[in-house]
Amino acid sequence: MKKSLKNLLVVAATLFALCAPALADDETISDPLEPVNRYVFAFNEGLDVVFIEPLAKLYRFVLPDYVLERLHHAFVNIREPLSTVNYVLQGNLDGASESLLRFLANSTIGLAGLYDVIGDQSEDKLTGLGDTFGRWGIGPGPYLVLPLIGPSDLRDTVGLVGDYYGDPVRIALHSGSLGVDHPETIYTSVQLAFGLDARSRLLNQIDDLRKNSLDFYAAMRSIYLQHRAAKLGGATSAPEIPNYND
Amino acid sequence: MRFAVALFVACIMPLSLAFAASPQESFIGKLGQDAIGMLSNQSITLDQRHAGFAKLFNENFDLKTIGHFALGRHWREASEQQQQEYQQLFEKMVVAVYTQRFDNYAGQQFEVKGSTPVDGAAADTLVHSQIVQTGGAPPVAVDWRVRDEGGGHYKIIDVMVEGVSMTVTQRSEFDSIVAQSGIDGLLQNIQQRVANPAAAPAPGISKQQ
Repeated sequence: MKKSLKNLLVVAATLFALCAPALADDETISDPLEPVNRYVFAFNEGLDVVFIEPLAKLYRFVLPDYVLERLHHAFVNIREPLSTVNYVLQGNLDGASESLLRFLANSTIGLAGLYDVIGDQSEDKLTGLGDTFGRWGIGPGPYLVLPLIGPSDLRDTVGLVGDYYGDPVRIALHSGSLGVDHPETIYTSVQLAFGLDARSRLLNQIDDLRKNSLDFYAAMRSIYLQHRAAKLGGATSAPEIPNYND
Repeated sequence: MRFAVALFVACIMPLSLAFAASPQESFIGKLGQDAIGMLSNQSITLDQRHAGFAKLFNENFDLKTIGHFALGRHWREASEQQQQEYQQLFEKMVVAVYTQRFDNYAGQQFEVKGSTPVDGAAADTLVHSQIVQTGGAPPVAVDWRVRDEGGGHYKIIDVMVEGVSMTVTQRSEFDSIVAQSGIDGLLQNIQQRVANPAAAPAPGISKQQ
């Protein structure tokens, strides 16, 4: 156990050494694995067009808005404990206490998260290990496209693995104290449903981008990296646009 | 009495100033109203509507600046002839793409939600707005980067959706295409898109809901 932990730390340290500081200029995007990434991207596109997008449409158009809203609140709520832990790791105690309070209120009075009792729940307030690494000053490293999951980078991929194994909800399910059979199946299903919900909320945007971009892969890459930089860098993410008219 | 009037004015003035929208906010608000007015005008044909939108777009977006920025470092690598051809094609493509987007946004509500200055760009203001989507989808935060061109004239130089700059995204795309097939390849790509603005790059994409 001790040895495997040490190995893990060595691997993590090596990975982080690869993560150069974040660069704002899009012309300096780090994508050394572009050929492989494009291949995985094409695979994901096929999967999305044939399977995920139709399923997301079915989900959005068959269920009434009221039910969709309840489910969305529940999915966001179940991610709160992981966010609380990460807010603590980021040294953001206000964020941690608000997240914890939301989780406690919404899970009880809000009927297992179906209702947002305090009314300040938002997907944007969820945070994970990728964010925590970013707040600690670790750059994104090379851009990666993950099978099924989609755009990511080295930092966020390591974060995702950490989120999966460190999620208090998953740990609680496995501890047996909740008395559930097949905890892994339940946890994975909830994660997949969370993904479907997220996809169903982006139907218009992704459809628009697919139609209107000249290089969809490059567009998604830029959007992902900008989005991450905006979340971790605060509000000062406006690009420098010179005055060419002079 | 005079004192009372002075006191009254002193109390009311800051209040009214606080509620007055900045000129940039008014500019975006009016543009939104004009666009929505054109959408809901049933007395004109679809072609007239599109022509009206293109005019509105050309007048209010600084397409020269946006185009130049979107080509990035390749602007200097391009010949003068390529630059001119690029600018013409770019403007046509952007108008075509946004006209189509505009059609898709029919029936949605548009609200201006204040503005903030842009760090390091004194002439620029970010006007925040929200587009409330139909069909239960969440509202979209859209920021319009407005540049003061002097003399009371304002032009949009970037659109940011949920913190992502459309101009930067475009520049990244163009950079990728130029790396693969050169500036002529990019021009060809844009040409094709202008000829067929609604074409979907991937097969099997169903229509917009």
